[in-house]
Formats: sequence, C-alpha cells, structure tokens
Amino acid sequence: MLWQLSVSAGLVRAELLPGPGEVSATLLDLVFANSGAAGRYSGDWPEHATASLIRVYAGFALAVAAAVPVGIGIGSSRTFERVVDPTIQLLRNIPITGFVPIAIVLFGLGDRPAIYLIALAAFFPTVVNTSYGVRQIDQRIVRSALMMGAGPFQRLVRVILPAALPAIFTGLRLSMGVAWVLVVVAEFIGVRSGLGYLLFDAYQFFAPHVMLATMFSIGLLGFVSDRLILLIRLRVLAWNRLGTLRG
Amino acid sequence: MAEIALRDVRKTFGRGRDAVTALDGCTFTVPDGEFVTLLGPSGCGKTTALDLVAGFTASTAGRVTVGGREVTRPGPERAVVFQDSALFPWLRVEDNIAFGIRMAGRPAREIRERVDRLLERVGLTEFRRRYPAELSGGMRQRVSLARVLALDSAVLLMDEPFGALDAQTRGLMQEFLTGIWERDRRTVLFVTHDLDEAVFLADRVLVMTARPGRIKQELQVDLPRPRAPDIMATPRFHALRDEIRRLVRDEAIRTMRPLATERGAS
Ligand SMILES: Nc1ncnc2c1ncn2[C@@H]1O[C@H](COP(=O)(O)OP(=O)(O)O)[C@@H](O)[C@H]1O
Ligand SMILES: [Mg+2]
Repeated sequence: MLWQLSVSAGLVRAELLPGPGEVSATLLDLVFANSGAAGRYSGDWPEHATASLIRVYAGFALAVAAAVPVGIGIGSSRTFERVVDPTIQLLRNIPITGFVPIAIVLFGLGDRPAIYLIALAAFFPTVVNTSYGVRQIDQRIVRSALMMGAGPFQRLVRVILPAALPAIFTGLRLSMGVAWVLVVVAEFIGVRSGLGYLLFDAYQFFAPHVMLATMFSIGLLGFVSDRLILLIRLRVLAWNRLGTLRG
Repeated sequence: MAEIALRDVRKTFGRGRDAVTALDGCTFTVPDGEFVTLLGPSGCGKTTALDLVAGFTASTAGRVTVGGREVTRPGPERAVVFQDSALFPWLRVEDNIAFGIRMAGRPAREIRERVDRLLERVGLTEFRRRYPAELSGGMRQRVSLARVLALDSAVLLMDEPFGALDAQTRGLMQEFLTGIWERDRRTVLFVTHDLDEAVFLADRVLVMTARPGRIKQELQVDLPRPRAPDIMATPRFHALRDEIRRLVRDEAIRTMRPLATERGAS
C-alpha cells in the first residue's frame, strides 16, 4: 500500500522503483511468459528457480546431515565439545561471504562452490541448536531409559534424538533461512543460472522491475521452505504442541 | 534373592574446598521382599543413597550390592520411580509403559497384552492414547508405576514418588501402592520425608541423620497387613509415628545448627 502510494504520488521516481502492479505483472511474465512485461527475461524464472532450489536444498541437506550428528556429539560429550566446539565458534564468527573466494579456488566455478557455501553457512544454526537441545535434556529422562534397559544406541535413537527434536527444528528453520540468503550471494559470482544470477543480471542491465520481481520471488520461496519445515515439525512433534498449549 | 545392602558407604561430590560429603559410613540392608522406607530431613542424602543403588552414580568408598552382586550401572532389575514423573513426553501413555518391554525385545503380541493388563491395573485404559502432558500429576505417577511394573524387577526404588502430589491424591496413591505391593512382595526402597507415609507403607523404617547421612535408627513397623488408611487412626500407628517424629526432629535441628554458629562467628 505504502509502496504503491509513494510511487503514484511521485515520491519515488517510477523508473527507479516500479509499483507493485508493474512488479506483479513482471513476475507473472517471468514465470509464464504471458505478457512480455519482463522484456528479454520473459519466461526465464522456472529455469533459474530450479537451479537455486537445487543448490539450496542440496546445501541444506549436506549441512543438516553433518550438523545433527556433530551437534549431538558436542551436546553429549565434554571431550568432543572441547575438541570441536572452539573450531566451530571460530568459523562461525567469520562472515560467510569471506569464504566466497576460497570456495571458488577450491571448487572452481559452477554449482559446487555455491552448494558448499550454502552448506557451510547452514551448518552453524543447526549444529548450535542441536547441541543446545541435547545439553538441556532432563537427566532423569535419560536415567529412566537406562533403568529400563536401553543400551547406547537405543538411548541415542529413542531418547536423545526425540528429546532434542524441538531444538533441532529451530536450527533447521534458521539454517533454511541462511541457505536462501547464501544462494543469492553465491550466485552473484561464478554461475550463469539461479535467481541470484537473475537478480545480478537485471541489476547490471538496469531492469528494476525484474530485480524487484526476482527479490520478491526469492522471499516467497524462502517463506514456502520455512512453512514446509513447520508442517513437518507439526506432524513429527504433535506431543510438543500439546505440551506447550495445555501443560 | 534381591537383598539391597550398603556397607560403610561414603559419597563425596566435587573436590577440594567445594567437596560435599553427602553420605558417610552409611550402612543398611533391605531384606528380600521387604518394603523399607528411608526417612530423613531434606538434604541428608536420601536421593544420593537411592542413586547409588540404582547405579546412576558410583560410591566414593564402601560397597553397594543387590542380591549379593556389586552395583555398577543402572538396569531393569532395579526399577526406579522418580519424584516428578520422568516419563517420555513424546510417547503416548501406552508407549511409555511399553518402553521397557520393547527394550527387552519381547514379541509385539506379548507387549500388547502386558500393556493392556498394566493399563487396567493402574486404571488408565481410557487414557492410553494420551501424552503425559495431558494427564494430572497423580495419573502421571500411575504411568510411572505401570512402566516399572512392566519390567518385572526384583527391586523397586522410589524417590519421593508422591511428594509433588496434593494430600488427597497422595493418600490414594499410597493405598494403591500398598495394594500392589501386598500382591507382588517385591523388595522396595522408598525414600520420603513424610512421617505418615513412611509408617503407613513400611515393614521397616530407616531414619537417617543430618548430612553426612547415615542410618540413625531402624524401626520395625509391626502393623498388620493388608493395610487400609484407617490404620492411621490406631494407637499403635500413633505410637510409632511419634517415636519416629522425635528422631527426625533431632536431626532436623542439627541441620539448622550450623547456620546459628556461622552467624555467631561472623
Ligand atoms: N550432584 C551433586 N553435586 C554436588 N552436591 C550434591 C549433588 N547431589 C547432591 N548433592 C548434595 O548432597 C547432599 C544430599 O543431597 P540429596 O541426596 O539430594 O538429599 P535428599 O534427597 O535427602 O534431600 C545435599 O547437600 C546436596 O546439596
Ligand atoms: Mg531427594
């Protein structure tokens, strides 16, 4: 509303900040090639979105596959924590964009540096939340499992994992958010596909309506990804919802 | 045989200046098939003693044995009921009860039958699909009881299991536990700081000293069984309770004394 009003009232120059109407038309044309509003980008969106989605989900999957076991290790073993945690805390405090040159040097151009950058950035929120989730498990619950005859493996799978799951899901949501931020940064450099590339290209060729439409679509995909995690969480953690609502 | 025995047990937490000796020279026996309550002022080391028998912690010195064998780790032959039920919040009532039987790798049909029986026994059949968060405190403790009864343990360890319940519910739970025990006659070590509870449930009451805890006195409870709540109105019950009250009171006063002297010194 505010946006449309300021554009109509001439507060912002229309050629710099296109109104919502123009941006939606551009987005529709980017996706469906139906009006030509996106100019030479018309119908390009599906291809770029697919490239970004693959990078985001591949990076996210790699990150989670590493972060959950490492987080459980840190949360349940003092020795493991002492060895691994300082490294993680150090890496965590280097801005992820600082890893871009190294990723390109190591992995060359194309999909791989982008996926590894996303994986690296998405690793931290899940590892930190998982280790926190494991550390705050009620000792009496672990003791009840031992007292009922659970071995090390059963303790892990039937107690530690489910007990830490609410915290793990918090980590997953944050990681997914970070993955979408990183995909844009990663696609500015070294690739010729993806929504980040589209954004950067539209910037270089001065197509603000395409930039805005692309930004908006990235936000939308990020939002949908988050909802997806929430939906899974709702199914997996039915007990947790009950606990917080009623008890 | 599932006799519990502590011989000259010491347990110290921490090291150096922060070290706390919770138990020292603690010796007692819970004979096979007896219901023994461990009574003492709070902080005297009751939970510490129970944790040693459960195998959750190791003693600093002395021997802890169950059925003549040294306790080294927790296991289903020594079931534990905690104060605030330590149920798995992500499992439904029936799965909480089935947990131990599943760990033992029993076939699915047997698990179902045993869970059905236990649910009936604790009166929670219609709540079997609920999560612990949806139950009252008393119901949760009945689930805790059912899940350890499922283990068929020779030894039952209970750490103030009814301490967090309101007086009415606590009374009902004591009656309920007595009923169950009088049928099964397992070896029970029951920790409490409630005098009436200690006498009503027990064959024998162990009164502990203030920290560092050891056994101050052992009293036989010669009240007849089966016991119902009206036994609490008998002269014999009152006599026992009053005797124990004096013993506990002396210890409670001793716990307070260091406070007084510290204040005087500073
Ligand atoms: N893990 C621990 N670390 C340090 N001190 C402890 C620990 N557990 C118990 N204590 C101390 O040992 C003493 C006895 O505790 P506890 O056995 O819990 O008493 P009770 O169950 O009789 O109330 C207390 O002074 C308590 O502060
Ligand atoms: Mg205690």
